[in-house]
Order: sequence, then structure tokens, then C-alpha cells
Amino acid sequence: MSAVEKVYFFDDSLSLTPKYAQKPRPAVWFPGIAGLFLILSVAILLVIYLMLDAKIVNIQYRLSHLETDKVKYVENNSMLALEVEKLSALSRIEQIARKNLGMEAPEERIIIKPSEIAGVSMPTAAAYHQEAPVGLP
Amino acid sequence: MRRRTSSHFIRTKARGIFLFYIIVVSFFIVAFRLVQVQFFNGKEYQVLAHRQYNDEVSLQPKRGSILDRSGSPLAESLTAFSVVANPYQITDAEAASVMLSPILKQPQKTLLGKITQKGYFVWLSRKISDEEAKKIKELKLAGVEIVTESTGRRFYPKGKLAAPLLGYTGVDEQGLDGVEYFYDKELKGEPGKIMVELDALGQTIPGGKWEMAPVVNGLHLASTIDETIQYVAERELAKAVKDTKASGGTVIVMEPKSGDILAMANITISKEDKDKSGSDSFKNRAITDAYEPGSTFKTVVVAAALDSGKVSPTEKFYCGSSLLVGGRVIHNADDGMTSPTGKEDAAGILTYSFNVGAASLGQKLGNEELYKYLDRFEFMRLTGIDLPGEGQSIIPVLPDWTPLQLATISFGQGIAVTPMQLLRVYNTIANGGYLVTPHIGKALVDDRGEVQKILSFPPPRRVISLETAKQMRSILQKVVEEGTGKKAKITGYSVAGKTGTAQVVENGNYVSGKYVASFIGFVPAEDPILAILVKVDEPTTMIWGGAVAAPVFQAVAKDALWHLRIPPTYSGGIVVKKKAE
Repeated sequence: MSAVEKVYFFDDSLSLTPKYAQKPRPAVWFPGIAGLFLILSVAILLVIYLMLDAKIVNIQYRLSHLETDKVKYVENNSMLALEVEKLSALSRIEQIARKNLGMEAPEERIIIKPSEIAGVSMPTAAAYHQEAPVGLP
Repeated sequence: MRRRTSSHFIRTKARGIFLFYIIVVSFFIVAFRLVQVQFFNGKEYQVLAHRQYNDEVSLQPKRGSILDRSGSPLAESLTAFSVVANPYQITDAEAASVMLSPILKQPQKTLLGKITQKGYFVWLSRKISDEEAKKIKELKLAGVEIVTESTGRRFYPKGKLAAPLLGYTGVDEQGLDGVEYFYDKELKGEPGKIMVELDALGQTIPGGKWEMAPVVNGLHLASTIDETIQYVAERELAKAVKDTKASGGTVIVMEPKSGDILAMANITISKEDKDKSGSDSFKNRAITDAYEPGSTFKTVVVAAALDSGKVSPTEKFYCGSSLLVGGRVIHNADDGMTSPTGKEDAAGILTYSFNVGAASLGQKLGNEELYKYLDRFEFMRLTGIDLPGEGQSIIPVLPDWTPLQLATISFGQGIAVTPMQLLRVYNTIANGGYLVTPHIGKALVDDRGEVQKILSFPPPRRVISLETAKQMRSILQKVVEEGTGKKAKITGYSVAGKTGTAQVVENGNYVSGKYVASFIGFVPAEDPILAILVKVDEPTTMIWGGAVAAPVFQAVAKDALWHLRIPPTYSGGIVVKKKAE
């Protein structure tokens, strides 16, 4: 028997049991189940946390891609707006009107002043000045 | 048994001690290395780690747009694409250059040279169009990539409209001329940067470090330019230049009271080919080039004479066919206008544009008084317009004026002024006597459309009295109704203005057969809304300002008034009737 082997101390008053067995045997089944339950709960919570975290990461990646897409769409929109501006250039409109549609500028323009027909006031040059910011003192 | 147990214990103990020392030594080695890494090489590793995990992206601001007075963009910036190549990855350089050449509009040999040179990176073409980028992507050439530039590409959606006025930008979108140059600081904005942590795939780590110095986009310039009036001015000027086989011309449309420039058109035809624009077609001659104004300058002299009180409106001056001054004979223009009595008042001199009468009136006014008014009208200074490269006038220094110089200056010879300077004088007459600062910029607007700054310019200064301005308006109205400017008449509106026909000066001498035809006026005469200058350079089929420039004024003013919804000033229920009615 080696020096580190279990050493038993004999006492006549006690039965032949190891010293640690002298205490009354505790009811170990309850803390065991509780511990297991606790560990399981923590594990479940951890899994849920990890799943949520993974989902958040995925969503953030998706958001990042969507933001990239958004930039592309905004850029496309700007390109289309530019195209509209190009197509609405007055030189192009006049060319189409004259060449394709055979239109011509009117020789004379009819302007009717309602003020002199029905007593209704018309905008005048003075009214134009009131609308336009004028820098004179 | 006991002995055996004891030796086993000793061996185990020895092993434990050995292990202990190993651990201690290992600890010290690790600790030493840690100290070395942390304290001695810490900064170096910090930089390396920073490079590996952090990505710093420089953010270039979007250049602001230039808008016309209704908010329509005249210049704007969009994302720019460029073509780059990695010559080592291109397997068939010959075929690649053949395919790229028509798209990039570069000679095939030039492209071949680029993609066969040594190196991993070469620019093939920078800031190409969206269509070109799409075509190149479709080719799917190995080693040829489309990259997005950090700075944008400048677009002018209205094509060449107002090109000399707007100017242009360089490859990195820096303003190089015109409005683009003058307002470059406001348009370009301020760059920012973004710093993010990257994962092994080079993607941004969500929730990782994210620092940002925000980019400040350039502000948009809300200009005073009216797209429609600008278009009309360019169209009518181009027509006149073509019809008269001229070398170019200028039209400026301005609001007399505010100083807002509504249009500024310039055409320059090269000497080599009169059907095509010359290389200097971006030059804004309306403000850069001083020219001898001819009879349109008589208005300045008459206004000075009346305002100074040296000449009364009814005072008559000699207007015969010739006048001897300083040993030289001055003649009236050979335009068929003669004075029945040989004497005319200020109104008559302007109406029929008598050189002799203007010289006589100038003599009465005198050197000093005329010079004083030239100074008041700020001919010796720049107009202060918000454009680069404004030209100086050429006016002889006062003590050196000879009697002949006074006479010739009185009818617009022997001096040179810019079109903008001269139009400013007509503005002054139109608005009741105030000299206003012409300007293109109105306000600076941010991306949300909110005004960040309203641009301000020197306030108007009174230079002639209201009474003089009214007298001049009346005289100039007579020029159009009865005199040389009849072709500027617009049905339904009262027009005031003055014609001018001046010989072209080259190397200090008048060139035979080369003239500048001009008309400057305003409408409606009694309460002007538009002041317009028309100048046609070197017309060949006709030369007179009244025949060449006045019709351009009429066409531009008519469409501009219609566009601005300015009602006619003539009375009557139906103001303008169809000929058939």
C-alpha cells in the first residue's frame, strides 16, 4: 500500500466506514436535477442568444447590401433625371417641332387685355417688378 | 515496498519541479516577448494591424449644380466611370485593343500601346459615359475593368447652352472657367472620410468600429440665367451671324433694376472655317473683350451733357455733313441720314446718329466733364460681375486728350469698352439713374433645396438724376420710332435704344471693310424690364447696326417678353390682331 492510499482510522464507537461517510447522506437528487436544469437553461439561452446574434449579423449584412443597392438606384435615378433634362432641352424640342411635326412660330400673337374688356385687372410691368426682387433703393 | 514508494515519490517530485521550471521559463519567455511586442515594437504592429483590419475610404463631395432661375439644372455632377487595365491579365492584347478602340474613340495603336506596357495598372480612359461603360462591361474582357471614380463627372444637360458663361471643369471636377471657376469654392464642397473594420473577406464587420468625418456636398448655385431667354438669345444671334456671314457676336439680356443677367450669349467663328466654332468658343466676349463701341457710346455723352446741365434738351448743335477738328475732318456716317436744317438738339443727334452733332455736343461738354461722367459710369473700373477674366476698358488719360480725341470719343471712337460696361449705362437710364452691379449668382442652395446664402453685391449707386434718365428714355424711344433703330420695334410694346456701327481696330489701325454692328436698348420703354445688348462682329452682307443688330434685339425681346408674361403697353381690347382679321 502506498503512502497516498486511503488511510482508515478505527474507532470502536463507529462502524467501519470511511471518515467522509460519517456524515448523514444528503439528498443529492434535488440539487443534481436543479443543476442540470440550470445548465440546460443557460445553454438554451446561449443558443437563443447566438441565434439572435447571428440573425442580427445577417440582417446587418443584408442592410449593408441594400444600402449599396440604394446608392445604385439613386445614381440610376440621377442618370434618368439627366436624360429627362437632355430630352427636354429647348433646342431639341424646337427641332422636333419644326422638322418632325412641321410646326412654325406664329407670325402674329393675339393678346387680349381683359381689363379693357370686362374691367378685370391684368398684371403689368409694375406688377412684375413687385414680384421680382429689385435692388434699387 | 516502502523504499520503492519513496523513490517513486522523489521521481514524481522531480518531474513536478522540472515542469514548474519549464512553466516559469516559458512564462518568462512569453512575458519577454509580450513586453517586446507591446513596448518595443508596439507602434509598428499597431500600424500593421490597423492596416489589416481597418479600411479608410476618402469620400469626395458631390459638386453642386448650377441652376437657372426656375431651378432647371444647367450643369450637374453624376458618378463617373473609368476604364482600367491590368496588362498581365490580358491574354490577347491585339483583339482587346480592336474591340475597345471604337467604344473609347481612341486609335487602336494607342490602346495597344497602353495595354502592352509593363505594370499591373494602366488607365485606358477616364470619366467615360454611362453608355460607354455599359458597352465595355458587355465585352467581358479579362484584365479590363470599369471602376468608379472618387470624383464625379460634370454634365451639361442642355448641351452647349450658355457654355462660355458656365465655363467648364477639369478631370477632377475643379472649375476652370466661367461660373464653374468663379463659384468653385462653393460648388465643390468639402471631402470627408469613413473608417470601418473589415472581415477576412474584406466586408464591413457589422457592429464593428465605424468612424466617419462627414462629407459636405457642394452647394447648388441658383443663378439669374433664364434657360428660355438664353436659348432665344443664342438662337437669334446664331441666325444673324449666319445670315450676315459674321465672325461672331454677343447678346446680353439683363434686368435693369436688379442687375440680374438673364442671358449671355457668345458666338465665335474661327477664321479658317466660318461654319464651325473656333477653338476659343469658350471665351466669354461679353465681359472679356473691349471694343470700340461707335454710335452706341453717343448715349453716354448725351446723358452726361444733359445731367451736368451744360447742355439743355432744346439746345441745337451743328449737324452738317462734316466738321474740322484738330486738323482732321469728321464726317457723318454714310447711312443716308441727313439733317434738314443742319442743326439738331440732343434728341436729334441720337435719333439720326450724327457724328458731327455728337462731336459738337462733346466740345460743349468739355474734356473734364465728360471724363467725370465716364468715371461715374465706372468705365475705368471693372463692373464687378461674378465671372472671371473681366476685361479692362481702354480710355485715354484725361490731361492728354486733344480736341480731336474729345470729338471722336463723343461718337464712340478712340476708346474701347466691354459690352457689359456699355450695357450698364443703358441700364442706368432704364432704371431711373442707378448704376447696378451685374451678376449671375442669386443664392446658394443645399441638397434639401434650402437657401444657405443669398448672394449680395455692391448696392446700386445713383449716377444721373431721375429727370435725366427720363429725358434719355424719351430720346432713345424716338431713336426706335423715327430714327436708325426702327427694326427694333416690337408690336404692342414701346422700345428705346440706340444703334451703333463701328470700324474694327486691329494693331491700332482701322481695318477697311470690317465693322461691329450693335444695338443696345430696353423694353418696355416707360417701365423697362429688359435691357438688351446685341453686337455682331464683322458682318459682311450688311454692316449697319440698325439693319444687323436691331432685328436680333427685336426677336430676342419679343420672345423674352412673351416668356415673362409681360403684357403689351398699347391700349385697346385686342392689342395685336392677326393680319387676316
